[in-house]
Amino acid sequence: MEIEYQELILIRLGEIALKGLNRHKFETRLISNLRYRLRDLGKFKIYQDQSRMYIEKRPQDEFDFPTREILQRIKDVFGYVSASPVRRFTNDIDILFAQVKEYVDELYADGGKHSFKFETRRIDKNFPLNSYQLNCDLGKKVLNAYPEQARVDVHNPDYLFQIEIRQDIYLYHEIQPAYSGLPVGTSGTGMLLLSGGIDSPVAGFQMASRGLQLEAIYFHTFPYTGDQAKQKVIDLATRISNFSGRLPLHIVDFTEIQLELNQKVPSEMLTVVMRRMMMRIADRLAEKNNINCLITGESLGQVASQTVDALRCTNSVVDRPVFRPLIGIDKNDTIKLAREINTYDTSILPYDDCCTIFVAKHPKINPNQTDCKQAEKDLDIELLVEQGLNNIETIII
Amino acid sequence: MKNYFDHAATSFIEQDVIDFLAKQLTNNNYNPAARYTSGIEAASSIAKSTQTIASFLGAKPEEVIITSGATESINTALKGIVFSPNPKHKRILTSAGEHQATNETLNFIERQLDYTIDYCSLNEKGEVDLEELESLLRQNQYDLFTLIYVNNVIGSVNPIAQIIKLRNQYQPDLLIHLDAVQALGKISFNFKKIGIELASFSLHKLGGPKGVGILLKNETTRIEPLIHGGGQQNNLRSGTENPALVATIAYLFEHLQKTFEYNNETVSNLKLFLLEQLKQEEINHQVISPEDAVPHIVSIAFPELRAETLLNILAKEGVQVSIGSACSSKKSERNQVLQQLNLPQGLDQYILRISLDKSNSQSEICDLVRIIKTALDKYAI
Repeated sequence: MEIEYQELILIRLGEIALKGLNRHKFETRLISNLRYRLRDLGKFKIYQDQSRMYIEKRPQDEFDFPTREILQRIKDVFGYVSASPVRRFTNDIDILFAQVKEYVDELYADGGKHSFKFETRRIDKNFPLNSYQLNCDLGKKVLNAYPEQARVDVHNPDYLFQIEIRQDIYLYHEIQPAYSGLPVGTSGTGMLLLSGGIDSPVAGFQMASRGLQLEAIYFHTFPYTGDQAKQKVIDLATRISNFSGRLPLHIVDFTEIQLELNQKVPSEMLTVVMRRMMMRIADRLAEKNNINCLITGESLGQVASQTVDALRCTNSVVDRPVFRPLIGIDKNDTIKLAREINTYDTSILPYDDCCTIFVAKHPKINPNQTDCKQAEKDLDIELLVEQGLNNIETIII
Repeated sequence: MKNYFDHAATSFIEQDVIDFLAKQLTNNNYNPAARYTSGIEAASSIAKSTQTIASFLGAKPEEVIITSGATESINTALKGIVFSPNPKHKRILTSAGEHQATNETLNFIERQLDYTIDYCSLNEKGEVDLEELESLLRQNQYDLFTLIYVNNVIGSVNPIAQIIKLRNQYQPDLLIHLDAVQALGKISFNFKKIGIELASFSLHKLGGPKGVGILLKNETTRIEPLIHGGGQQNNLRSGTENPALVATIAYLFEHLQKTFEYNNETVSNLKLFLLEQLKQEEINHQVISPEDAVPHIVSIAFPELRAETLLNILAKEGVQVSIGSACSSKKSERNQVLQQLNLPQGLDQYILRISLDKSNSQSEICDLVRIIKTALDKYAI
């Protein structure tokens, strides 16, 4: 008997299924983000049904459904809890038995010992067996077919076979957890201050997971930082864009500003003043691009410019809220996450960056507003900010 | 290649060599192991070329093994000794100034085969410290001493005659392998006269193509092959031999034999010119390479500007130089050779390696110096 089924992917919604009247906005956005992430694999039918979404082949398409590639890519999409590859077939008891047999045969073909359990949800009450009867019948069949390999474990089975009897029948066992969070774009846009380091890409990832779309700003200090350092930031932005979608990267030519600061600012205040300049330029660019928050990778006490006092100094020159998702996170946890989102190996490439070149031997650890004003007294701040804004190259990633 | 000052990393192949190789690939491309006439001719071509190669290096033809490059030669030498029946002591001596090909192979041997590796320090000229060497040879018994002949970062030449003397005095049976990659064509080399057992070379640093190198192994030393297969090259390096490539090495060596003195004189003059120009332009610098280093490697510190910054500026202007060791520039560790030289703290980050060749011109050097001067004027911090 030719066994026919259709493969599709089931997506379980989490937080967004609990939203009120604006729930629709979140769902539409999630669908469009899924489409965007899958754009190089082809076009698919993506639709929502209660607290779930489904991805399947369009009826007119001939190609095989790339289940594994889709699962791999949608791992990067925020806004759902988990995904499962599912087989769907006609609602008929004989077909169900045949489908389960084939499905189970594939999993036991490795000759290994695997415990299992069946769980049935019978939404179609016309189905001839009830859930309990069906679980028992199917369980017996598996035990008879694989007396040496199979064993029932109702608490912690290796394979939890799930059957849902609706208009059609759905069969699956695999569950791929997702990052959850909110669909990117449902919380507006944030301006990420991206360096070549470990922290800022992770900060971007964290805020994207709360639904922020991203633009990124990078301060390039050629020749102190070279083309390889710039490429490194582009590579990092490309990685982040897997999660956050389309990502404009603004590369500010910061060299002249940096040299001016180097000449006119006392060395122990250089880092703080430099960061204040970067924040001012980022804030003004955000204003121009209608962006209402800034994101940095700062973590409390990590370096001299990330003490409470130094953060107050950098914070005070901007108008927008500054999100610092790593502020209370241990470096090791940040590194762990950087590895997971595949930015770590790029972040540790050893090219000079301006923060290490223009760093004072003994930076002021507890600067205050007066120190900053004093340190900036010889600078024409407005002119320098304008200079930064006028020397931006934007790459759309 | 204009404005290229990275000849110690790789060099360019001159047109006559390309033509020769192309012709060889057309006419001399049979399998030298085959029994028919063309195969036999290919074998005899290899024999003839090997004769030329051996004679240029002061070795016997049967001591020549053609490899895929110096990295393979070094791996074959080091692992070949370790896996042979020779070793008694499970201890290898080397220096703190080796190339990664040696260091990583030794790390493997240490890790996987439980060997002890001793690293002899360098003196402030970047040469192996003879006093320490003597004391190491007095204290321990080694299976092998592997040493770089000419340092690839600063160009210092290890005092091989004195080293051989110490070996003969303390451990006459100790095998010596020389990594002679930067020595070939720059200082005279005679395998027999030097009196070592193994030596590794690469061809792409002296006008040959990449993917070919040489290992010399004297007749009486036994090594286990790294690559097993059809038993070519006296069963020491399996894989179909390439008569065209071997003929090209011979061609290069014949040419080198004739131009050796002229080349070195030209390069020495270029080095002097470079140093004069730097002085004349009053550029703050410190020559790191010792005076008696090979002339084609000149490492210079510019203490006002980090080497990476200077490299970025030069690259933008189409000038190609490298910082530290080109082979390890992707790694963040500090260059271990530079660490040995007792330089002021942090100065290793300010060192450019300018490596010259006879094809460089005085006007290129003037450009180089001018760009450095402009860069320092504008960007020195």
